[in-house]
Amino acid sequence: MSTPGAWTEDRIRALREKEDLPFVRADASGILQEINDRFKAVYGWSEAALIVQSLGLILPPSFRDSHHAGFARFQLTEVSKVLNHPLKLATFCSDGHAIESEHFIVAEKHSDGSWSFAATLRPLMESS
Amino acid sequence: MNTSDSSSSSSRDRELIAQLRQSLGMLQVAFDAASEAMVIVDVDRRIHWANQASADLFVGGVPIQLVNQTLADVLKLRPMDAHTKAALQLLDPQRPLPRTSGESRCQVLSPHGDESQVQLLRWRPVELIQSPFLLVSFRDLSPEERALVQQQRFMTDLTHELRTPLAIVSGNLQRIARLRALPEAVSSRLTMAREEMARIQKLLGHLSLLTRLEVDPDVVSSGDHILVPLLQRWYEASRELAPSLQLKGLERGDELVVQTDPRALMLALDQLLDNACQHANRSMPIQLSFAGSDGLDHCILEFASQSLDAPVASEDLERWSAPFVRGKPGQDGERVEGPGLGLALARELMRGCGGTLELHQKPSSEGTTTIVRLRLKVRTSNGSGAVAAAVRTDPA
Repeated sequence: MSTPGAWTEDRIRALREKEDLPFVRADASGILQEINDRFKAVYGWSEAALIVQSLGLILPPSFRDSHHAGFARFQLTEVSKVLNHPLKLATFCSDGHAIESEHFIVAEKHSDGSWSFAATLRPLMESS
Repeated sequence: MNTSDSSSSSSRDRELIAQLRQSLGMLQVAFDAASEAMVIVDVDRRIHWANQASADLFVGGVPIQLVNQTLADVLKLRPMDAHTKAALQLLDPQRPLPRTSGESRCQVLSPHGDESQVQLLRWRPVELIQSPFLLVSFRDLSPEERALVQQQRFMTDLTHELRTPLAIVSGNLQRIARLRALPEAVSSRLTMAREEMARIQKLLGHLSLLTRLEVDPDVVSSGDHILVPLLQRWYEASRELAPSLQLKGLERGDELVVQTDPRALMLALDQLLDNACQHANRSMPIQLSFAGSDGLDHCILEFASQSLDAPVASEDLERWSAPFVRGKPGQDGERVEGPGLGLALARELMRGCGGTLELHQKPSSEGTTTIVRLRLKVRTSNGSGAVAAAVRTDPA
């Protein structure tokens, strides 16, 4: 199991600006707090539709069980296999189709013990 | 609803969600802690849930990357036992999901052809209200189990390879025996050769069955059967071979229902009778009797034969049921032939039926009585009428 590396606001900024990639950020409960313009352009979502909604919404329905279970497990163990390396996953668009994307997910533990999560997504191909 | 009620309800919802999330997390921790790789698939064989071990085995360690892939996307199977068809159907979305549990020993190959160690593949239906799912698990077999599987494959291949040349030799001996006017010396040697050939073929058959019994419990298929008709049928079929055979005490086991595979039980009794005919005093009775219950959930059959020899030491007696034990020299200095595979095969057949086989000896007035004690599992009765109606009596 890999443990999440140090994650800072600078790193968020670097991620956001890197190659103008789609970007999302969520809080400790997996509630979306931020998406960037590139994300909106590629996957068709608006802030009104996603912000303060579950991160699961941007995953195809068949992936959501696994996402919720993995997320719940991370909250108990603070150990994850998905952090800090590129990961090919389908991303769900607002119109219901999915785009295969390379996700790079990072996590930061705050001084109060809570976590934040951010990811850049590199679209690869449409999977359905 | 006022503001205070609404706030309280929202707080309760958050608390409930947090509890549910914790429960889900605990379940996933347990699922991931299993050393067996496990996936849950739907009728299309698409993976809905995968644990950490399955991700380690199939996709480099990230469970969510298995989700939505079909079993055939991530693995190929090379079954290594008699359950090839059932195992391969797991990968075929054109076939319905199995409705019963099953297992198969197999090698698991990646789609690129790399093969894993021998795995025990198990499947179990998960009948949900909305739709059926199947839990599929893979357990890496221990080195001992792998060695056993390899030994089984070797024995299966060996017996298969030997059968054809032996059948050819046997056929030719039979043709020669039909020739007229063979010199007496040739005829006598021919008879001896045919007897030895029959013995080799029988040994080979037993060896093959013994090996399969040791590694594949499904070779024996136990069900509920009334004991007495089974014993009577075996007795009728066997007394021509052994006129001194007696069947005793059956009235005590009337309507008793046992869990057994009739073919396995009869084959085990055949082995005991063969051994008794070969090693016991043929002028004395060979007796199969019903000896009651062990007070738990087994009934006891005793197979007794007599010999003029003195009893053997208990450790020697225990060795008799090991394969190919050689006998000690007789009074004339000639080494006595051992029980071969017969007792070992009978013991494995009884084990396969959930029973046991033990050997005992006691001195008798003229020598020794050897008793083979068979324990058979008794079905828990739920009313004799219902039992009698439910059991099968057909051994086939």
